[in-house]
Amino acid sequence: MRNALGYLTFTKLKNQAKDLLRSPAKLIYVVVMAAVLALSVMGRSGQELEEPQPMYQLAALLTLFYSFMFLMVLGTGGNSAKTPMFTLSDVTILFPAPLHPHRVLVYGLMRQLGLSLAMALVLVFQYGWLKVAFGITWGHMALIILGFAVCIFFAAFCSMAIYVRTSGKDNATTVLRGCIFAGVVLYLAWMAYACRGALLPLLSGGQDFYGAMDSCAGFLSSFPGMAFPVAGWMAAVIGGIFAGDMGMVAAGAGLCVVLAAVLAVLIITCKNNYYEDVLETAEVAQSNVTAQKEGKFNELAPKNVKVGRTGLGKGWGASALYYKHRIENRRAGVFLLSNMSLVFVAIILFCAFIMGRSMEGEGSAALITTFAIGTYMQIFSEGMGRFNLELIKPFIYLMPEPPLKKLLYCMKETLLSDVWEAVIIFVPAGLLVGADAMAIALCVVARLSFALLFTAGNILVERVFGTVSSKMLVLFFYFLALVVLAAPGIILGVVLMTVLPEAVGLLGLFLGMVVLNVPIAVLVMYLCRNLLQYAELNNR
Amino acid sequence: MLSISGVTKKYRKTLANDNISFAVGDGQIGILLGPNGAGKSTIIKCITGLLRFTGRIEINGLENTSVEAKRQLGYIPEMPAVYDLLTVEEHLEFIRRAYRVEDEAYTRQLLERLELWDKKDKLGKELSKGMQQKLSICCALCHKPRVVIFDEPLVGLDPHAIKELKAVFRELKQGGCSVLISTHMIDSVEDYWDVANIMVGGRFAATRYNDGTDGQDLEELFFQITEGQGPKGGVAQ
Repeated sequence: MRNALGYLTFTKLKNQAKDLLRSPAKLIYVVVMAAVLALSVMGRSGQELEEPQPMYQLAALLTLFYSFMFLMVLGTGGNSAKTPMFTLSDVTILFPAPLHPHRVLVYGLMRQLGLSLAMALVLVFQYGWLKVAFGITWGHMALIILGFAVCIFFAAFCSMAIYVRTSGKDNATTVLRGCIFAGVVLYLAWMAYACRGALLPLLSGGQDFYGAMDSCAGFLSSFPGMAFPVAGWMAAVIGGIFAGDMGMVAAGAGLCVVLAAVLAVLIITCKNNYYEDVLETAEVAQSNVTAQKEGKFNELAPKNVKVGRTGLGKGWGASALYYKHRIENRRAGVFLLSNMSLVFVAIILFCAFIMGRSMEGEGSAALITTFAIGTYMQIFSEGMGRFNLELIKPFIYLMPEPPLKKLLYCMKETLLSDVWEAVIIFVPAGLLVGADAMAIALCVVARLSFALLFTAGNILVERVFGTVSSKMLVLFFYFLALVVLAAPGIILGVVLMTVLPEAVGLLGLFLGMVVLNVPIAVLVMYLCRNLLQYAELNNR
Repeated sequence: MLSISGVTKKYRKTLANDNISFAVGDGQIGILLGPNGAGKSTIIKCITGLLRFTGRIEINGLENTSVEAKRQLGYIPEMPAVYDLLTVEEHLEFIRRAYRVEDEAYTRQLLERLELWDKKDKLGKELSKGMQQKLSICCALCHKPRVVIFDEPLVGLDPHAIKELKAVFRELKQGGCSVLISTHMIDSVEDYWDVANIMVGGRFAATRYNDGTDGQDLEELFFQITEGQGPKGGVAQ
C-alpha cells in the first residue's frame, strides 16, 4: 500500500456510505431530515418579498454569524471534542506509525474540513427564510455553507497552532486568550463608535430600532467590519461574490490563504509536536462517542469542581436521590438554573424584546410567539436535568424502594428547576411584551404543564423504546412522542382561543393547554411507573 | 440463595440467554465462565433487574425485582458506575440512606480495607478506573447484601485490592451469602468456587461442582469446551 492515509480516508468514507445503507434507523433519519428540509423550502415558496432585502444585510449577517461560531470553536479549544481533528484510533495507530507528522497533520486537517462541511450542512434548513428575505438561490446557499465550514476549519487550525506555540509556557495561553478577548471588545467598541449616530438616540429613548440595525449592518458588511479575522474575510468572499465585487473576494480569499500558510509554518517549525493536545481531545471525543452510542448523557461538570461542604445530610430511602441531586447541582455550578438553561432564558428574553418592539400594540400575539419559542427550546432543555443522568446509572434501579416513589424523587429537582425557569423567563418576558399579571401567571403555569409533559415523554420513550439499540431512532421516537402528547392540549387551547371572546381568548389558550397537558402527563407517568423496576440497560 | 429458572433474553433476533437455569446456594460461590459474547453479563443484568427477560429469578425466594429482593442484593458491574460529582464518602452515604442502613462503621471499614479511606473526599470523576472499581465494590457491599453478584470484579484492580477482594469472597461465603462471579480469569477463582457454569452461545455448556469428584481441572475443561471439544464427564447441560 503506497498511500496508507489515502487508503484510510477512502475506506472510511466507503464504509460510512455502506453503513448508512445498511442501517434502517439512519436511513429513516436521513429521509425525515430531507422531508423536513423539503417542507421548509416548499412551505415558503411563493412568499418571496417583492423587493428582497439588500445583499449587504446578508453579508453583515454572515460576518456576525461566522464570527460567533469562529470564536465559539476557538474558545472551546478549537479541537472540539465533538469534531476532533483526530480520533483515538488515529492517535493510537497513525501517530506511532512511520508516517511523517506533516502528512498526518494534512490528513487531520482534511478530515477536519470534511467534518466542518458536514456540520455546516445543517445551515441548509435556513434556506427557506433566506430565500424569502434575500431571494437567494441554491448556489448562494452552497457558498454560505462553504464559508461556514472554512471558518470552523480555521478555528480548529488556529487553536492547534496556539497550542503548539504556547504548550509548556506558563500563562501564555491565558495571555493569548486575554488578547483575543481584548480584540473582540475593541472590535465591538469600533462598531459602536462607527454606528454612534444611529445607536446613541436609542439610549435617549429613540425608537428607530431598524435604523440602528441597518447602520450596524453597514459596518459589518464593509471594510472595517470585515476585518475580523477569518469570519469577516470569509463573509467578504461570499458577500463579494453575491455583490459581484471581485476586489472584495480577492482580499478575503488572499487573507485566508496567507493565514493558512502562517499557521502551517507555525505548526511545522515548532519543536513541540501537536500530539499531546490531540491525545487529550481524542480521548474525550472517544468517551463522548461511547456515551452517545450507549444513550448516555455526559455530565456537564466544570473542569475544576469546587467540592465545598460534603455529605448529603438528609434523605432516607428514595428521597436520598433528591439530596444527592442537590449536591451534584451545587458542584456542577448550577445556581437555580444550569448554564445551558440560562442561555435559553437569554435567547427567549431577547426574542421577547424583539417581539415587543416589532408587534407593538399586539401584546397577546407577542406573548404567544414568545411562549411558542420558549416551548420549542424547552424540548431540548427538559432532557438535560438530573433525571435523565440518573437513568444511566444502575443505582436507581437497584434501590429497594417502590418504583413510583423513586421516579417522583428523581424528578423533584428537575421539576423545581422548571418552576424557577418558568418564573425567570415569563415575568420579564411578560413585562417586555406588555402583558398583564394574569397572562404572565398563566404563561408560567402553562410552561410548567409542558415541563411535566416533556418529562413524561422522556419516561415514556425510556419505558417503551428502552430496548431499541439505535439511539438515533430513540431520539426520533422522543420527538414523535412529544408531538403526540402535546397535540391535544395545543388543539384545545387554540379552539378555546378562537371560540372565546377576545378579552379572554389568551386565557383560554393557556388554560386549554394546562387542562389537558397535566392529566396526560400524570397518566403517562402512572402507566410507566414501573420504569425503575425493569430497566433495559443494554450496554450500560 | 439465588435461583434462576428458565431465563431467556432476546435482543431482537439475537438470543443472548437461552432457557438458563441454575442456583447458587447459601454460603456458596458460583462462577460463570465463558468466552466473550457467551451471555454472562446478560444473565447477570437479568438477575440484577437491569434487563427484562422471560423466566423466573429469585433472591432468597423473592422475585428479583421486588423491593425486598433488591434490599438483599449487591451488584458490582463490569464497568464501574460512579457519580462524577459525589465524593467517595458521599457515595457510601447515599447508598446507606437509599438502603436505609444505619451502620456507618462498616462503610468506613470497607473503605479502609480497599485503601480508599484517604481518598474519601475525592470526587468520583477524579478517581482512576481501578479506584472507581474499588468504590463500586464498597457501594455494593455496604448494605450487607445476602446475594452478591460480581461481573468481572478483578479487572483493573491492583494486587492489594485483588488480595482483599479474594478475602471478601471467602468472608461472604463464610457469612452464608450466595456469591456469583462472572470472570475470564479462571486461575483467579480456581481455589474457592463451589459451582462453575461454563457458558457458550447463551447456553450452559457444562456445570461442575467443586466437591473433589472431578479429576479434570476447570481451565482444561474450559478450553475443551470453548475450543470445540465436548467436556469429559461431569454434568454437561
